[in-house]
Amino acid sequence: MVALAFDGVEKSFGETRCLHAVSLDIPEGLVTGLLGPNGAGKTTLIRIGMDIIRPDAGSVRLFGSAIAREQLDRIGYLPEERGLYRKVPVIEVLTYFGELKGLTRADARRRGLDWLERVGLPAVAKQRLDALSKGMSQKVQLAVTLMTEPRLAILDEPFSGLDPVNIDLVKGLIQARREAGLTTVLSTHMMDQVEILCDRVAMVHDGHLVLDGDLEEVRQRYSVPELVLRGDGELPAIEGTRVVATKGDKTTLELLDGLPPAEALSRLVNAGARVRSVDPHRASMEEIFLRVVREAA
Amino acid sequence: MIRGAKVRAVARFEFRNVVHRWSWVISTFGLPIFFVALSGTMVSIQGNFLEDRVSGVSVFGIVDHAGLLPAHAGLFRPPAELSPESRRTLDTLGLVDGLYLDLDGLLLRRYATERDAARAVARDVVSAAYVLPGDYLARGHVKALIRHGGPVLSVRASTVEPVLRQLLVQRLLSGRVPPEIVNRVRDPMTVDRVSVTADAVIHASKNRMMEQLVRAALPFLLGVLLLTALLSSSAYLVQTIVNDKENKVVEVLLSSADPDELLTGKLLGLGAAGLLQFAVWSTMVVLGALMAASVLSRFSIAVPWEALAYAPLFFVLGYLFIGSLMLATGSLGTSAPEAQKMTIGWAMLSVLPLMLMIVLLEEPNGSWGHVLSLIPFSAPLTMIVRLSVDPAGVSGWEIALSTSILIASTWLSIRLGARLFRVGLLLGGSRPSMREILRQARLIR
Repeated sequence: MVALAFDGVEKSFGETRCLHAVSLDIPEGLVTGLLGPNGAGKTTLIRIGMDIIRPDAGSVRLFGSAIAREQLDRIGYLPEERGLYRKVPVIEVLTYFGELKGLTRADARRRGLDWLERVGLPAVAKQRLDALSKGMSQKVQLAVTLMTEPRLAILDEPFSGLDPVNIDLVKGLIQARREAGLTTVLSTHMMDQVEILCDRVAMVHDGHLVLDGDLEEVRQRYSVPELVLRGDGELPAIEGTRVVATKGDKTTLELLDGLPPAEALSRLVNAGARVRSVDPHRASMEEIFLRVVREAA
Repeated sequence: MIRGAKVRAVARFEFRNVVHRWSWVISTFGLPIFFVALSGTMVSIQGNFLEDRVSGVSVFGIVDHAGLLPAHAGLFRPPAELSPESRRTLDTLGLVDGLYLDLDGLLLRRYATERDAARAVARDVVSAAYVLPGDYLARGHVKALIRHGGPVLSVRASTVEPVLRQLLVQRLLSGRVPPEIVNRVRDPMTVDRVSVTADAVIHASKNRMMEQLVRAALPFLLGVLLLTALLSSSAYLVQTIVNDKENKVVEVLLSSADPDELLTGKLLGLGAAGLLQFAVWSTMVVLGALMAASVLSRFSIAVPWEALAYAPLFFVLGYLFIGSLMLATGSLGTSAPEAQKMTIGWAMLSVLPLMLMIVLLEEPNGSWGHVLSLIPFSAPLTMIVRLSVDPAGVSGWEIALSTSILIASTWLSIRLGARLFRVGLLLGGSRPSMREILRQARLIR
């Protein structure tokens, strides 16, 4: 089942064309990373998905049907440009946004208090937001987004401004959502978190969708035929390979002419190489990101 | 389709936010008290000043070339023959000689020539001097010598001239016509005004002038209060939308509620706060007027019940109409000052009846009154003033027509406002061009 589907979506602001016929499916129950450099069109795409702005052309379907306002109550949105009412007590803010998402006042208040517990801020319920640190405000904002257990959560840069402990807490919340079968769209520039959290990735560049697929499949697709070997002594030169880099006991070996990794390893061992470990090269999301952007440029 | 629960949530949140602000509490409860205290103090200071000026003895010069006020006729006396108070005044001014005509607190000092009188004026010995020329009887001209650079509005000068006029009338007629004729010429008529109701009932009042003043002041005050509450509530609307932008909550709000729901909720929440403020102010004004009436029991103050009854309706409609326009245009601004600049036009249009207040008070049911009652910007204030001054002259159909026009205009302005509001909220950063606003507004369902 597709949670959110964009079909040929186009959008311009003035003379600037922000999105060019973007078609993208966000599958339900998974964590999808929405990547792209600054100004690529991610936020515009998200805003269209949230029905905040309308596309010039194309269509959007939410949980299989055209977007209706009632459905938006099942979506939680943490925008990149975020903020809350700074001079209002935290619990009042949570209650207000809970009510706006369709909860009763009492339920919204109860869930607000629960979520403050979950993000480790039970003591700030009656404090005003301007009395909290940036990291604490960030967690309150996350509580606002997730307190209704939305079927789809769109989190734009949820880790910005957080220390490692709180990054871990947020990661835990996202993983818990996946375990509960809820859908999350994660827009971030922290590629290491994408590798850990995402099942799928999509990348937008200059308003075009330039990458879309299963995370492992994408990493595989962008991986080069290389082996990373650790061993003792110098590696013997063998046919069908080329040493790309050596650092300490680690050597990166390029496999030429479609030489299978197992065959290359066998040849090395037969040639007297003392290999302690071998790993096939897997492209990191950071490498993929940079490569895609450079190729697109 | 607007969802009531969301509108209620927005309205409750905005209402609570505003009424918990110190600025609202102070302006609602403190402002009327401050206003009454300040205006009372000012009136008291000026009243005492004027009373002091009027009650004190003033000295003016007189030069008589016409022979109407001869020195030998027993009119003028030396200082020694004047009252003790007059003598004290003359001592203070260093006037120990000369001849004086005492006219109940006014002393006319006789000068032989215009030059002598001019010197006395220049030295500020006398407040002013009047010269009756030789051809006074033929031409009626009297020359007033006033010190250059003296007060622009002289209370003393304004009191002396009527007295001098009466003195001249008396001197001109004395001995030629009977005394009662002299008296009637001096004071030809005292008008006793009575009002006649629609049922031809004559209603006499001992203090008609003061009563009229109070009856005019009450509608004026009510109108001003309505306008102030209306504009201050609208200002809160602009402020709240600027706050939403500055606090960057706009996107979260729009992901949770429709712009129509947000706009309606904000209008209702802040409108309720404005209505509460207006109710407090109106109660204070009416209570103040009733208390003043009981103190000054000779006035019969007519409480404008009709105006008070319709005031909430016209406040709500006027506020929704102007508020939605203000909210829409204010949301296009990128900062508080810019938003306020963009909304000032609406405020000026709603102030229009205030500029024509004299016309409305004089002829509440005249052409201007009828026309302004049908223009949505001016209708609330105009109707309240008309219902205060002459409720019998405002027919039921006119109230119905005025409110219908207001309701229709409000519906249109909310529809238009919601579109602009949505565009304004999202097109942050630099102010969008009119073309871009219209293009984006067209994309909204």
